[in-house]
Amino acid sequence: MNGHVYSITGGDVSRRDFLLALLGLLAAPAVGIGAAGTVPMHDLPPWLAAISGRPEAVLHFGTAYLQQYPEERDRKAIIAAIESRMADLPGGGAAADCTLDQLLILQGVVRGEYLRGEFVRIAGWSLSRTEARIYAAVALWSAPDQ
Amino acid sequence: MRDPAPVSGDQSGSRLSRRLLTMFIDARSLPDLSRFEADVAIIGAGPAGISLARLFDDSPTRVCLIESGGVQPEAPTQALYDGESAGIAYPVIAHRLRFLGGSSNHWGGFCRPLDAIDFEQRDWVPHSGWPFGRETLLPYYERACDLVEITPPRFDDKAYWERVTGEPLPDSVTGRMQVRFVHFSPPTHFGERYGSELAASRNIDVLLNANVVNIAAVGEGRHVEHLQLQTLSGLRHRVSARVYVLATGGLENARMMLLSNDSMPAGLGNLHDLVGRFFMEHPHLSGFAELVVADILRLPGIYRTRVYADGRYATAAFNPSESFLRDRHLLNCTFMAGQAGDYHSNVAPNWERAGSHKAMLEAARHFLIDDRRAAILPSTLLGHWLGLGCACEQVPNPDSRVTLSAQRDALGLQKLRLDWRLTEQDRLSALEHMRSLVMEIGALDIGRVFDSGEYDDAWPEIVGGGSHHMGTTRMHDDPRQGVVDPSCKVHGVDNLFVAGSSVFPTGGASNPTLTLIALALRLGDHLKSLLG
Repeated sequence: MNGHVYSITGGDVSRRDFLLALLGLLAAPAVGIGAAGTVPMHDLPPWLAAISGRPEAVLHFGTAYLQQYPEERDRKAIIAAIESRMADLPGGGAAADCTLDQLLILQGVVRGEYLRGEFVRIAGWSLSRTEARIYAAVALWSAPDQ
Repeated sequence: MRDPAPVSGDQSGSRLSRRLLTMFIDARSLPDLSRFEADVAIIGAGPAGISLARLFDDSPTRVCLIESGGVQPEAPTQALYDGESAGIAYPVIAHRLRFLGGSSNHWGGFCRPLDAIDFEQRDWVPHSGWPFGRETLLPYYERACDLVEITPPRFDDKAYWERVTGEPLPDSVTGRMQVRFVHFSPPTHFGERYGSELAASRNIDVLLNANVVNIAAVGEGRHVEHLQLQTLSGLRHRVSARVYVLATGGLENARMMLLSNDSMPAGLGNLHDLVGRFFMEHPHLSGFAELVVADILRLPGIYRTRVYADGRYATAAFNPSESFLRDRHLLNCTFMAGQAGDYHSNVAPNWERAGSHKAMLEAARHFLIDDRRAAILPSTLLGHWLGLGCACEQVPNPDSRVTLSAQRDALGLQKLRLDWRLTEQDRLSALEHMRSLVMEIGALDIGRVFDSGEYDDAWPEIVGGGSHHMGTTRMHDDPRQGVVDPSCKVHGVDNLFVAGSSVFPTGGASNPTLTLIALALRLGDHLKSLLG
């Protein structure tokens, strides 16, 4: 809606909850992470950790994206692709060293992609490419071997 | 957007019906071979026929309004609408009603004029172009709004709806779409609403249970001499008039002309094999997609429900902008949304796609609701889902047509055979508009759209329509391209006119009722001047 002022569900509590949930998923046999101990959590970009959303749901769409685009099963590449899109926006990329700013930029990226029609259909849902990649990145962090 | 199933009359309606029955002429009660004379004979007492007849009330012009049915539906009469479907499956008997008031008796009440671009000859739409522009119809649209009880209309007045709803309405961010407003008639059932008025008229005779079985013409089909009537009980009557108006609906108008072939083997007014061709519907992509939203305030109420203001209901629709249609050479289209349900984290999904809806709301929450709004909503509320419906324009297609079947009805007349066809151009246009809607909704952070992909590769086997029957006696200046001229007179026949959506050269993406009433009123003015 025009004129909306957005705030971010990226405060400490949400981020901590998300990370805890993510760590929980890493240990869960349901997502089949035999190599969970190998996941370098210190590599997790802060903006990714700050995305709110129920991890199982995020994983559902992330996994579906990776099945559809198997060539993107590369943690570093997918993060680079997302951050490259962020860098295209004014104030994006390295300039945004604050997680809150990064999240705002991310929202702008997603909005801009919808505006330009850059979306993919994942499990029936039309999702902006970057939005889908965010979900895929979470999936890759949760299950690096998928 | 699709008009609902037939309604059965309530008690007050039945009382009215009984009273009307005594005030009209029942053709079954007349002596066999009765004859009527009038200045204007109107065949069909639906919205077009009744709107037209009313114009002559309390005037010196004698009108005979001829209706096949009675004041209530009766199965044997309704069965006369049975026919074959040869193309896309289309139950022709279910899409029309054959009694006083015609198909207005199951009308959903959607009202919106055609857009200005719908009247234009568009290079990318074969056979497009009305003989006149929207401005010609504007005064008649205004009068039609009175008849369907939606005055004062506010079809394009965004500021008005923002004021009365107290909600700002988003502008298109893609430039592809625009907001338009659809009014809802009560809906006006023309038989019930205007029956008493017709019955009280001194110069309008309403003849019920009278089936026109032939439009008898002389002079190689150039002049209609009389109408042959027959009741289901076997009585035969005759109506003679100075002018005749065929107003039996978008399918039956063509059938009647094809059946009336005693002086012209191909059918009356069918010198150029156009009668029945160019049948158009509005393919209704009902439930083609679903929308989930986490914060319902991001989609103003008028987009998701009917809003009541100044005595009538309205809703907002997403329509393609004129510039986008021109730039991309697309057909017109209307999208509407309806709120369907809510999702809570502590309630398990209870239908096929609910699990996916909930998952989307949970995954995309970051993009769809902000902290302040989330804080004041119930903590278990995940969001809402809405159904999305779409009604599309289809290209006028000569191969999409009405012909006569080998089967015969109870009157011995050949039944109708409908071969409804859609083209790739129709489908690709609809897909592009769906894409616009996803872009708009995503870019405005309203929600996320689920689309089954049913229309990705081809039209599916089953495509719904809206009971909108258009184009089969299309209007054109040139007799080689149209059945009726701009005044709605049949080319080559000096005293036969057609009223109804069968004269539409193109159908736009608006429900045709308001436009066909406007055209009937325009025809009425023409006939008044013609008859003096």
